[in-house]
Amino acid sequence: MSKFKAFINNWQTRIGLAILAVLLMAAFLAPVIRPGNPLFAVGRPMQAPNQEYWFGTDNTGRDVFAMVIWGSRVSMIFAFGAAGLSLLIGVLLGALSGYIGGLVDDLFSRFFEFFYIIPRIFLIILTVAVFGSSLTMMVVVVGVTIWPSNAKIMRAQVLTLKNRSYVHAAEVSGAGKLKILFRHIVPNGIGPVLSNSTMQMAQAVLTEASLSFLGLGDPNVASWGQILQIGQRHISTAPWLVIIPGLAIALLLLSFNLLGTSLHSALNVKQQLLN
Amino acid sequence: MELLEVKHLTVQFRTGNTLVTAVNDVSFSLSHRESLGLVGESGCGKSTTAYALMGLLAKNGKIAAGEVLIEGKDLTKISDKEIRDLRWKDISIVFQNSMTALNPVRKVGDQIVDALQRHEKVSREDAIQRGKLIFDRVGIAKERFMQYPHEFSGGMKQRAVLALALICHPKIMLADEPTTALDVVAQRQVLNLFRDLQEEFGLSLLMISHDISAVAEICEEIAVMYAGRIMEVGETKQVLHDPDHPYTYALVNSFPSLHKPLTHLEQIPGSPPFLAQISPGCPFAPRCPFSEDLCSRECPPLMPAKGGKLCRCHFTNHLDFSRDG
Amino acid sequence: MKFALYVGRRLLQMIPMILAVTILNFMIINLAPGDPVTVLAGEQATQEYMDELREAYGLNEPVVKRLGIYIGRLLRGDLGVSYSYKQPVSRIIWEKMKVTLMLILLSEVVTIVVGTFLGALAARKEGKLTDQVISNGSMMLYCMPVFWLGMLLILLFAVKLRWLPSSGMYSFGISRYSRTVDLIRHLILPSFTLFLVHLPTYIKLTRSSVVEVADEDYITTARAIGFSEKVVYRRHALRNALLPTVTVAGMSLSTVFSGALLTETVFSWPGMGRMIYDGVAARDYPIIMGGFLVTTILVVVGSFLIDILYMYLDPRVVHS
Repeated sequence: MSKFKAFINNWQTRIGLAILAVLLMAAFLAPVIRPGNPLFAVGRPMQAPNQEYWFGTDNTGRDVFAMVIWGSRVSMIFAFGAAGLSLLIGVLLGALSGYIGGLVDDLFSRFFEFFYIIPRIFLIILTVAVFGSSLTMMVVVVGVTIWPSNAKIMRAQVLTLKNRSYVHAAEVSGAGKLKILFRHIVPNGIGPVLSNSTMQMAQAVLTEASLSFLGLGDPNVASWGQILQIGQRHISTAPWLVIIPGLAIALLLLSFNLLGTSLHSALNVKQQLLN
Repeated sequence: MELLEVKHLTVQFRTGNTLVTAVNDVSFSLSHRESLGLVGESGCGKSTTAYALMGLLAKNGKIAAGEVLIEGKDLTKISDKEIRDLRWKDISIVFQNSMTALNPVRKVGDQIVDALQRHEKVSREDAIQRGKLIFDRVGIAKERFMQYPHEFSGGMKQRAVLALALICHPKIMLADEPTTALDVVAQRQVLNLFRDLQEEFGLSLLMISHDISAVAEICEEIAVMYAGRIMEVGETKQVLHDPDHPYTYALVNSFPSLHKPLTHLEQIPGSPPFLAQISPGCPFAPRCPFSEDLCSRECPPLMPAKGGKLCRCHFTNHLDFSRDG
Repeated sequence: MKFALYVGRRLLQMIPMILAVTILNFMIINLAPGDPVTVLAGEQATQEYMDELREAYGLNEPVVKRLGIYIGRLLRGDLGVSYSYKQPVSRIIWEKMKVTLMLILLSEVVTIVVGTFLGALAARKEGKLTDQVISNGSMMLYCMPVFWLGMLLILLFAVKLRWLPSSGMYSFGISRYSRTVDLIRHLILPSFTLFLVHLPTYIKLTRSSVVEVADEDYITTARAIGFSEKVVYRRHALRNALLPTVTVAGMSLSTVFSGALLTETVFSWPGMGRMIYDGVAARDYPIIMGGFLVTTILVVVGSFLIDILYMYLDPRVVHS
């Protein structure tokens, strides 16, 4: 429990949680803060930030503040959705691969490696181009392309832990193999995977932003990358369209990275003991 | 003049806000071709003493008091550069952890040649030749000279580290727990090797170990340390067969003997004190069956005891252990 | 010799990788909605052209035979014809690849060198101000999306200060710079962007690596032998600490290409990344597949070469 305390008291955790909390609130309260569809034009286009429109307006007269607030929803959905999916798949496949070992493990490892070779952006662009760009589809695609790192870590943990005495004890006492794996081994080894998942949330947000920036995002929702795409076309005349959404992305990424780093440090002592 | 003289050495470490005195007023000396063993439980300060002698203390440690004289030169007073020149040439160390003491990505031979060339002007070919000779002497095949550490077995690595320590023909060699990581057979081999090498190279040996029997084999003199202080020091036979200090007695009795009849193994109740809190009295008092008020009030100085020994006990020469034996 | 065995093993491992990518590539046409021929020929193809393609790609044959034909074409260097460029894909890729490599190689090398230097510096001054500045600065840089970074740089240097051009590879029309200088001026911002974006990875990596190595026993041994701190640091600590950098450099090749794609889009740099992106927008499948395949092969070969380099630096891998 003192590790938890250490985690909470760390200034990195605090700042990270604070930023995350603010953005999560923005995501939840979007309909309250700025009701209505943010993609509808509401004012004169190309206004710099002013009293009425805090973040200015874009080239078609949309309220940038509204787009940023609603955009946080998309980012959060991606962060938790894709990273969650990746966590699930990664833990499952990594644990099984490590526990079963042998040829299965070999094949899986080759399979994991394959994902490291392909430039992720290319793969995602391709898939989105083929399968379309609905929000759900994109979350699934991203989740399905980032799980290898979780699998790799989980597998390494399982390999280390499956030779521990308590595992042998469980095996000897007749417990089912799957039960042992998921009841004993995985919970003990999941620490680094969780800390990796925080980083993956950052990755997911970044990927979504990149895709929207490239114009491959869901055109029916407001997202930060989308604003940046507009911003690129009007960079010399509307710099706020570039600076503001990018800042939002950077802040969210910062919070995930801070949390991930302090989580990693907090777990590190335990991991060292495990090894 | 003695080869090595350690006078009232005190080593302290700073951890956070606490000052830990790991070595407290330790004095001993080593003559040419002599061997001394430093024994005691883990944490008693024996390894720290060795590292202090070589100036290899961690960043948060320092020699707070005392002198370390090698052939009259005080290591605590000379410059860093002079210490570095002295290292390995006058005094070297065989590290405890041979598995990790060598750089894994460089050939063993290169590391030995490097060490030699650091202190002597020799060509690479000559250095390699000398290195191979030492390899031969410690019992490693010459062909292995230019192999990598991971190609050596555990026992071979220990010998390699020994070879490294000998390459500059030091006057003093420190051995930090040389037998601890080895099985009994390998232990025997290493001890024999030490004895032979000591003869052949004319070394003075300072052996640090918690294995009294290993030390007893090799060292003519032995010093027993507890909580950073020397409790008893003298000729090995005198110290081990006729101890004066209660701690020494208990230590010796906690080892089963192969020769004497089976007896109850004595355990010393309690545990060694935290070195961050130095009480004014004798550090062993809390666990000593003979302690009295005086012991907790005043730490005894080293006093002359029978057989030419020195003993740190108020009741030196007055204790009779036979009743407990 | 053990080295030859290791190299051989790694070479053999490359083959299934490339094969897998090829098959994946092949599947793309088949997964895409619509008739593969239209996909390959583009929307405005004539009936004759489509029939030709059907013949040439054996689209009337069973799948396995089609795969064989596809691989056969690949081995002959035939990547098909792009319908948006109206030229053989291989020729286009050759041109574009040179442009992208120009961008990537320079910035990657500088990033690794500078990142390693800063990371080692931060490790040496662990806990002190230098370390804090480097580590925190690195963290902030890490959180900036590459395309945002690029745009910010454009805002500063091209829009505000007007020192450098904001896009493209050369200036249109008459420029007061020679061709080479003009190229360099256009190269600066995109390279700098890529440089900055990958810097934190190497800083963090080197820093933790040096900190870890500094505690190793063989460092104490080196000191015990009498080497000065400088020598211990350079000859023992650094050499060992840099090993993970080589590994990471090998593993991040695909990331480098991803970053290049985004940077090229921001700066309208006419390289492979841009080409693939435009290809996706135009549904020009031969280009997409060709670009995908070539990039992946480059990554595989690149990581193989780096593995070999690592083998020389860390002899332990050969003996495992």
